[in-house]
Amino acid sequence: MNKARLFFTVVTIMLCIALGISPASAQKGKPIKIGFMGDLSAPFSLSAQAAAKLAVSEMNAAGGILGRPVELITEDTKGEIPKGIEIYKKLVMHNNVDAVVLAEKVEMSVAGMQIGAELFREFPHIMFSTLGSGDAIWHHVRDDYERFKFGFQTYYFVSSHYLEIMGGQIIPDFFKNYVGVTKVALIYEDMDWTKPLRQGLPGVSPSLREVYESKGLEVVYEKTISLDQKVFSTLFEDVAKEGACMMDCVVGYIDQPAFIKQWAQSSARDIPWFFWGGLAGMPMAWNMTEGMIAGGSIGSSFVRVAITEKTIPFMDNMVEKYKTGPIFGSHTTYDTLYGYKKALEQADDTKDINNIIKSLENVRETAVLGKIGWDSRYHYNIPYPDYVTPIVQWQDGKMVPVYPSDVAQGTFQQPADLRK
Amino acid sequence: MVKFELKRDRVLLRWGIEKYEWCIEPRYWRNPVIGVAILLVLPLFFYSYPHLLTMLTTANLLAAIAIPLSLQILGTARVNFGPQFYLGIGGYTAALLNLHLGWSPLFTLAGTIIVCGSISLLLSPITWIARGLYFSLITLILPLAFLDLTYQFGDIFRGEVGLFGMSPLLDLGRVRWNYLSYYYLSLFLMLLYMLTADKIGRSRFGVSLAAINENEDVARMMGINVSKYKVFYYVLPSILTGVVGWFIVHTFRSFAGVTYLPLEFMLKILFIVIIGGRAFVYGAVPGAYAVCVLEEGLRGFGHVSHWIFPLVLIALIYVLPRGEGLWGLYHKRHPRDYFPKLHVRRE
Repeated sequence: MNKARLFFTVVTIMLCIALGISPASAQKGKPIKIGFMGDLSAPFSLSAQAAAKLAVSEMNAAGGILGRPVELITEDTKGEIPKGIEIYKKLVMHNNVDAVVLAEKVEMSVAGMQIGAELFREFPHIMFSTLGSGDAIWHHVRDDYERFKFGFQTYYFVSSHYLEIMGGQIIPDFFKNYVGVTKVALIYEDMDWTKPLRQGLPGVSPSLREVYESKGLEVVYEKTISLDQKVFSTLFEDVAKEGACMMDCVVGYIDQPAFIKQWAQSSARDIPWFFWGGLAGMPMAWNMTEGMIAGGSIGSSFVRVAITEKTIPFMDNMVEKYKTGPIFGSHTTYDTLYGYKKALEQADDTKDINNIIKSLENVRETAVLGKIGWDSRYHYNIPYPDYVTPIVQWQDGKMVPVYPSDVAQGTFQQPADLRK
Repeated sequence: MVKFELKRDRVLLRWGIEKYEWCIEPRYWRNPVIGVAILLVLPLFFYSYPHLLTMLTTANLLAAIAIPLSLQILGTARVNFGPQFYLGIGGYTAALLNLHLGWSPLFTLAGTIIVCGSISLLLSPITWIARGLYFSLITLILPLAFLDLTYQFGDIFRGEVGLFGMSPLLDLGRVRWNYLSYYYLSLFLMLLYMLTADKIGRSRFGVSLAAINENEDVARMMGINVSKYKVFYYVLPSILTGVVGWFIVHTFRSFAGVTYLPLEFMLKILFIVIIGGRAFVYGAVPGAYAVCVLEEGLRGFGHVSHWIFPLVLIALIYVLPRGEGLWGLYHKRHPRDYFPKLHVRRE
């Protein structure tokens, strides 16, 4: 066989595979189909995929939804929007799924909202974004409810709630009453999700700095850093010089190990920090920073703390059955599917999409991180205190929950004391 | 006075001192016509598979980026490692004009052409001052710097979220019809680029292009204004690439620099050029289709596809005739088909 024939044979085989039906298509009865989309080269999507599989297997073991089996069709977007759009169309138009779960970054969820709105009229379905943060997703629903009512966002917080709940309640309370500080250095990463915090949201909230100051915190230093930044020593010198007692780092995507290692060797080493999210909230962070993370605190759902009766079994089953840790996005994916199940059961209907949407807008279900449900007007998930992400502090190689008090397993300690 | 002449292999039309000619000998047009016919009927087999129709649309768009890139590589004798820079410029221009000024897709197209043309003209002196690795490095940095700007000027470009909600290029009332029409529009765009590149390859410009590619000093000695040609071959492909950005904006209706500006996207385009055959601009079409079909086919293998896909691409580069790629395979089997070939400088 010459090279040309060999090439075209390979291409034909690939096309046949591409046309192939997913292996999950041979279930009994007419299943409720759920499509899962994620970047399956990224740990967060892999973890969310495992959580979706876990939820679906549990549901099927318990008799499915309204007596019908649940079928999960998983697809890999590779993190590319054109590929994601292809897959969204495949799931909705070809696989005829009832719901799409998009466990991907915010730009993919935004693209999903656009393509979903195109399809919704002819192919009614529900879209859940379980990983993308920021306001762009639910703003679609706020700005044009009729067009985007199929979209629901489940993530720990959205920016307005960052300002109202994280900035307005949780962090001032944590800093003043648990850490015992009032002088704060504010450090943002230069991304779109931090913009409302830096600049405020017109008609909703002033900036985070102003929110903090209204709550009795004094912001002595404020800086926005680039995602590419690798050297932070000047920043730490400035923070120490300004007399800050706490570094509030509104970051999730910067090079956190580099930040932490340089902090531990700088003149700001005794000034504790709080990260809003990211790698520092995962178990491997201790080894990655060679223990220099001691004293740092972060919002993390990785800790074994029984927020509800579902929390610990979920964490154990993820590791036992799917060999993956419950990284951010997995809890939300798992909880979303159970919220969807309950909404279908409450609606007692799987066909009338408007009925299902109304049911989703009113549903409340016990979840891994509290209670899952969505705002009836804007379709973001009901946040704290219904949905809880504990604040943990790294102490002696472990993440110890220190806030809120009902899930705390220890008290906040100063970094200098932890290093002794 | 119009006068027709029928020769053995061509028809001549004479009008005053002007002369136009069309080849009628089958070896000049038979296989290209068959190829285009296949591309025209292809979506009829995939009507029930909208995701594959979108994949084919994406393949057309990738080819439409690779064709100008091939032309640029040949015309400037330099490898541009950042063709996606103008995709980003074109995409953001169209999106911003549509969202903030309410311009229709037709007017945003004009805006895209003007902005891409102006920026590429301003940057075109880099083809004079840098060559080889230096040129590649400069072009590599441009999209990455632009990506940083999309974060720094988040108020305008919306950082990692990107811009969304732009007007559709057309709305036929049913989504399947829309997707079918997007395929044909992308095919039209790609074929238009191919025709443009083909005309250039066969014209006096093409001879100059080949001369510049072979040796700039010799080309100068032949009387070719090398600097002028290099500007032309930098600006025109940049505009054509920008128009693809415009097309993406009005079909996918969301545009985020974080998708199109990073190195991964550039690598895909370069793979398409090399696998298709960098000595021929025509290679971009089989290159783009091969890469897209392989990627889609390998997706069925699950996680392993993430490392199998690049391995297969590397294997293809190794196995296929060097510099001639898939088009070279075709050309060897059909040596009498006439397609202008532009030798790639080895140095």
